[in-house]
Amino acid sequence: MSEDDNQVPSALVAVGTKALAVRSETLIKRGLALANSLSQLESGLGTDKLPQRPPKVSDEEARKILERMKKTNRPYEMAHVNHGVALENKGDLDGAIAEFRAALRMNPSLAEAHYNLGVALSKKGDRDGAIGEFRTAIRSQPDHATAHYALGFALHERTGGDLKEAIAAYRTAIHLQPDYWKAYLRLGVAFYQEGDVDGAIAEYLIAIRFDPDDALAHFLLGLALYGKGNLDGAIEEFNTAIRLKPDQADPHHRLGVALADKGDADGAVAEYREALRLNPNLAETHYNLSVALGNKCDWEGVIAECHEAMRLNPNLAEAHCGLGAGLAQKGDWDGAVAEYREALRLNPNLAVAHSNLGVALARKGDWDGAMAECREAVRLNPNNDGAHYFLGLALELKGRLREALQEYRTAHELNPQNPDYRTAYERFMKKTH
Amino acid sequence: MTTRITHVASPEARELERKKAELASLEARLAERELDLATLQAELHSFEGTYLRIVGSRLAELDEIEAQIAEAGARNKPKDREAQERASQARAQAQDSAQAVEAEQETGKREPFLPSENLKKLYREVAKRIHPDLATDESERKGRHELMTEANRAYAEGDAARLEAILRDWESSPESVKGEGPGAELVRVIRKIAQVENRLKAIDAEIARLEESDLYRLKNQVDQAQKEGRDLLAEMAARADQQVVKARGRLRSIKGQDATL
Repeated sequence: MSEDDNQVPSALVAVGTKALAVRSETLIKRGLALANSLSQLESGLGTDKLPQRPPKVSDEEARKILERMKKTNRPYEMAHVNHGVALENKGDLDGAIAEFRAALRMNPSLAEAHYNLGVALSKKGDRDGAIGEFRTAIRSQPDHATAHYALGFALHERTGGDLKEAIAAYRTAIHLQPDYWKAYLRLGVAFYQEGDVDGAIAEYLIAIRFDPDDALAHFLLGLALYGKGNLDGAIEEFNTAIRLKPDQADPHHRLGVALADKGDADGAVAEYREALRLNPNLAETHYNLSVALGNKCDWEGVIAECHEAMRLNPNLAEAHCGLGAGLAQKGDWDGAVAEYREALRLNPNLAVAHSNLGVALARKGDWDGAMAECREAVRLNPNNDGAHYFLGLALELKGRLREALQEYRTAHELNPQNPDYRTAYERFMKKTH
Repeated sequence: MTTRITHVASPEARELERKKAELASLEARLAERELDLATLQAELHSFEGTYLRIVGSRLAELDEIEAQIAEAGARNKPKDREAQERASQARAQAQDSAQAVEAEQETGKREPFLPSENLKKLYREVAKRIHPDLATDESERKGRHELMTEANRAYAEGDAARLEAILRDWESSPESVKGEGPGAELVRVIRKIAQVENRLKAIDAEIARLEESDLYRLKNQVDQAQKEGRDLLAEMAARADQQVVKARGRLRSIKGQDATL
């Protein structure tokens, strides 16, 4: 945030007293000594006749001075804290924790020590301990913005953590320090998790305006825009995130998904391949790549990528389904049926596996099986045009013409461009009339 | 992810309204604190002048005599390095004091700083509108900074007409209105809030610093004495005069010694 560093200092002293003050400083000091000696003289002469002098410093002022001293005059405790931070930076968490605790023995309400102890505990994985320390730091110093942020972060990261409480902590941090852009970012993540995508987008935008070069902020904004169906916006943000930090696999993966949704299969393949170059162990990216390759009719590629995805994550139902589709394209219907059945074992609600299995069974002549699978596919996803079509075929073969007509019509209405659906529908119309 | 289609005011616009209200109240507080600081500075400046004229001039005179005494002593003991050192230090102090008093005399007599309510009101208005921390970019900030410096000077000199002119010119100047939607504006408002809060902290620190200065303590004692019906500056002047008389006597006796040698 270089702009902030370069700000012109405000017009603090503009009256022009400076030049004079430097030279008259000694004279004023002596004047003060003179005035003091005169006052002492006077009070010494007539203590009985003068009422007690009003105190030079009011109680309020004295309290303020004491507060200030408390805050600044703690060289020993702060030495422990500083040493602890240095140890922590070197990776010596136990040493650091010992130092913070030493500082707290001298001054149990030292917010800085509680805060740093919290950070060290959090690094050691003791999230609950960290949360306790952050809370104590805040009790000692309620305007400790970083402690509020850290508390929010720890609550947020805790499994089953309370989002509402984390959001409140982020908000307090922002209230105390309005340019705390990281707090805006985390607040956005919390909103997104709550399902408030608009709120998340607003917070991400604020964070980005404060630090336009933060790759994570652009990436998160891209995810939220994608969630809102704004593909172009999402693609732009993912591209920005990649430009700012090219070595992260995730933005490439997400950009690939968005490009695939836009129908740019070549672009999607390129992004998936780049993500896998950066991190070859992403099962989902291998699977997504197989889908993009399928759109380009590269069936060998589909089979290879699905195998790789399954190797990395044997429970990825979609990869089995994709492999089945690749085998089906090569005419291996038995292999395809086996993969579809495995996919459905892993995820019985995978609509596309039901419809694919239905088609494969139909190809094998098992019309009863085909009908059952296609019905299930249609139940899970009423917009699956292929499932309606094959269900129609199965019903027609079974002689249930009225029902078959209904399915052909639905398939044709869902996808009027598909020549098979149209031919079937028109043929059937002629036949029934 | 379920996508909801809602047509509420964008969250940024809602947040903007909240932040604008926050900024408005901060701006009012900022103007008040700028007034406090400018008043304190002007009061101290004015008091410094009074002090230098009444007491400082006498101390400068005392310093001059002490320097002459030290120089005479050094002449008497040309091989005494300590005496030489004392003499040159005393001369340096006398020169410093004389310069401070002369500089004050050159600036002319300063009236005690007693700002009228109208002057304070004008200054508050200027601070509220022109304050550099309400700028949105660096060049605007510089322009505002210059105007604010001028306003501070006008306030310290009690020049209400000048403050009015600054305000008039500002109101008629076309301040750039940037419309980039609530998002950009929200960030500007948040930045302004941060700037104003920083400035408030800086004012607090500056006022605390001034209140811990010797000048402030001295002024405080003089004010306190005045409440008790005493003129502390006059007492100090009288004490300084006594010291001057004594010092002159010492100088004369040394010079007399000088003459016999």
